[in-house]
Amino acid sequence: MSLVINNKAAMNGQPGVHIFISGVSLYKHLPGGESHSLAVADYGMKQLSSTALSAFKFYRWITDETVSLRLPIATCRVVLSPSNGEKDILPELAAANFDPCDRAHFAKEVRAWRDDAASHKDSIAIFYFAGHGIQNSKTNTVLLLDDFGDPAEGDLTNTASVGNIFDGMAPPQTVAGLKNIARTQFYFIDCCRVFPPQFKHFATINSPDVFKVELSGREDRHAPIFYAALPDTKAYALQNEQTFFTKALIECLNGAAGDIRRDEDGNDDDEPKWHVSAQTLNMALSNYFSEIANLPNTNQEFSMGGIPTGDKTIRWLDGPPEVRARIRIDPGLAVSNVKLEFIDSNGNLSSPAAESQDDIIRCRIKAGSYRVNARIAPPNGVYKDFEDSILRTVLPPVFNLKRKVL
Amino acid sequence: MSGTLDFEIRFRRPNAIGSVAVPVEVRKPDLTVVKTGLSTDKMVLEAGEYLVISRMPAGQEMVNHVNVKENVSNLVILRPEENEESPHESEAAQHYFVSDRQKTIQAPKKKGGTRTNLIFGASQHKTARPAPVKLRSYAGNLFEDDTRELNTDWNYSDHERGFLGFNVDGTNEPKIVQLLQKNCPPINMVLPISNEHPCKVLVTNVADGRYTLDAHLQNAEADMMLRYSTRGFIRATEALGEELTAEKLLQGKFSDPIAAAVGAYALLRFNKIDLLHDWTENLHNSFTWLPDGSVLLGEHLARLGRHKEALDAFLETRQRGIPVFSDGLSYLIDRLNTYLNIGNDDFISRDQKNIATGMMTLLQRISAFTDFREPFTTYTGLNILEPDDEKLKTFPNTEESLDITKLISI
Repeated sequence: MSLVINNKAAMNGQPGVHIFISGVSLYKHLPGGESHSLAVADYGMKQLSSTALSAFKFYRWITDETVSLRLPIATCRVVLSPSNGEKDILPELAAANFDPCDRAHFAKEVRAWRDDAASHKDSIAIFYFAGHGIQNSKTNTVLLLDDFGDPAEGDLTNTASVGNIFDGMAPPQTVAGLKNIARTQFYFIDCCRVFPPQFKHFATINSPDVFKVELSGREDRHAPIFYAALPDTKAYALQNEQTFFTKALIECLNGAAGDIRRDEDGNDDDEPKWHVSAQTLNMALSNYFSEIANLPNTNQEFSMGGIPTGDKTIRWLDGPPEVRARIRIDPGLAVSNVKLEFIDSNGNLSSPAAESQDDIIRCRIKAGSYRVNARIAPPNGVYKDFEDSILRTVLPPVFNLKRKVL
Repeated sequence: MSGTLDFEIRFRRPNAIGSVAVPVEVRKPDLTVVKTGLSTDKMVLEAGEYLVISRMPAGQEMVNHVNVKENVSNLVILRPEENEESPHESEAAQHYFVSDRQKTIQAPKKKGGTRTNLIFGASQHKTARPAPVKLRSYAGNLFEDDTRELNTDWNYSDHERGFLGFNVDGTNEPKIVQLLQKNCPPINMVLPISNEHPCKVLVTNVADGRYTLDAHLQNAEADMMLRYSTRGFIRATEALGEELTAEKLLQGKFSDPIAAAVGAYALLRFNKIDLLHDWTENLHNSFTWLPDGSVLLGEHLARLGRHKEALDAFLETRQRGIPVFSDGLSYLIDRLNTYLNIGNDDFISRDQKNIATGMMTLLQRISAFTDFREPFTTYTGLNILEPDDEKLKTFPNTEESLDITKLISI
């Protein structure tokens, strides 16, 4: 089963969100896979342990009824090839019985996703993939599906090109059926983007098309692609847990990328609302990816591509989200004597629970504007209180400040 | 019941990056955004409390709180936190415009597939003993194999420990600077210059004794816009777009096609096609030497669905050379690839197919060794026409290169 949510009839042609989620951990033709025939050109790939699990966590997040997406969900398709380890960790995943993420199911479901997304221009299309990936050129990422490396086929036969999928979702010049393709599209690509050294001396090695792409019409999409890694770099995961990118992505979508503005498609007299948008997500992941993901010492870096025009809201938040505050105390020796006070614009005082390490005090505080005092408690003759003279913006995901108490 | 609000950006070292206009955001105490604009704007606001925020492209935040009083002119001063100030005036553009991750120039993989990074750290002055390093430059058109090594009068403008800035004179043809250092692949960068507008090339000695290369445009606002745009920061890019219009940049004797190209690339990156008007056409027609002029026009036409005209424009790049900007290189490769795949004789003639195939041969060679995170086309290889990731064993025998080892290690 792939089509896990189908509200099309109930929505009666109204715009909605069309979701396609795919994830592969178990690769048939890599060592440890189900097949006895191993890939000849495996580009150094091994079995994965948390990508299908990450895709499943994204599926659970996006279909959670408490998550207010910008539009109601119209359809959701999921193809997953989890490892046995992942199924053991999460029985719910084992019971879910999704179709596997092999080339045949992937291509069939992506095409069906596009057909549904082409029912209304104002709809939103969301594409998510977690698994192995490589670059077949410096500018294109190829997603490796669970039957990748079948020695009976070409090296990249059981793969899919992000460029082909992205181009295939463009408003076409002539294909009438796709004239109303959703103009807001979000792509989340959680995989490595390594350019194999053996490709450098060849013309591009093609991945077979999922879509027959014709020349596009006027390009009027809002279609950012959020990549887990920069071109020619790797993406990482915690074994049997989650990929760092999806962890950061879900945290951002839950508020770490929150901001308060008027919706760009709303009216001037609409009340501004807390929300996560393409732009706030980009800002949060660009500046704080490693911190949000608790990334160990790796070189993974988020990047954005596609057509990141506009600033479409992805979801609404109930109110101001929490912000990670990080206050550096000078001198560091005073850190254990300092109690932080956050005083909002109405004079209300908060002293959130904090922990200190070296010269830094960390705590979480609701987004807002505050005067941030560093109070010496109990007072001593060595250090002195720092009383803030101005209101400061404390916005997600991270608020940094330095306080001198000498 | 309103007052006006002026802004002043105050760096510790005055004139650090000139009187550059910086994007600012004005919020209410509940953090609702009230207005966005530039620090050179005068904003009219209802009387009340506001928070003013400005984020530099490299991530430094300048924040202040202002109580706007009615019928008077209010001033808010923004300055970076003390620990975020640029250590040297001459490094200001690099410090405030280039994020840490963009300061990382990627070195090619070793055969085992591992990756090494050169950390481009202008502030990291705990240097190892520097290895010999040289600079040389080329001009000409790579597509037509018509390049020559230049006898450059390297004019170094800034000189701090571990950091050296060169002013490179403008010229109306593509120019490439090459950084040579032993045991590292030579780094080639296409320079953002035009006849009336030089650029500054930066060479930085990093902690492990190696050097990296970057460039800054003469137009500081365009330089800043490029860095915001590269990171996908649409609001700041849009705010600067009010200042950097084609009308301002392409008219008059000192028109600045490089700054205009930055503006046009930013509009394409964020798909603001309606704002391009005849921007790309003017750039294409008025600066017939600039590779990015034909690429920008081609991409603009392609986004409008006018693919036959777009193909003509992209193919014209062969007479001009490799694009200055890596966005341009990326557009050129992707579009030529698409058009070759269409293969339809009604769309692409046999002659056009031959030209496009020839171009793609060079473009694929270059792109395989290109770092697309860099705003300017940057790739490795001793031979600028035959890129590779081979480390330099011995310096080429050339009289035109400049040995900067002593300058940079002082």
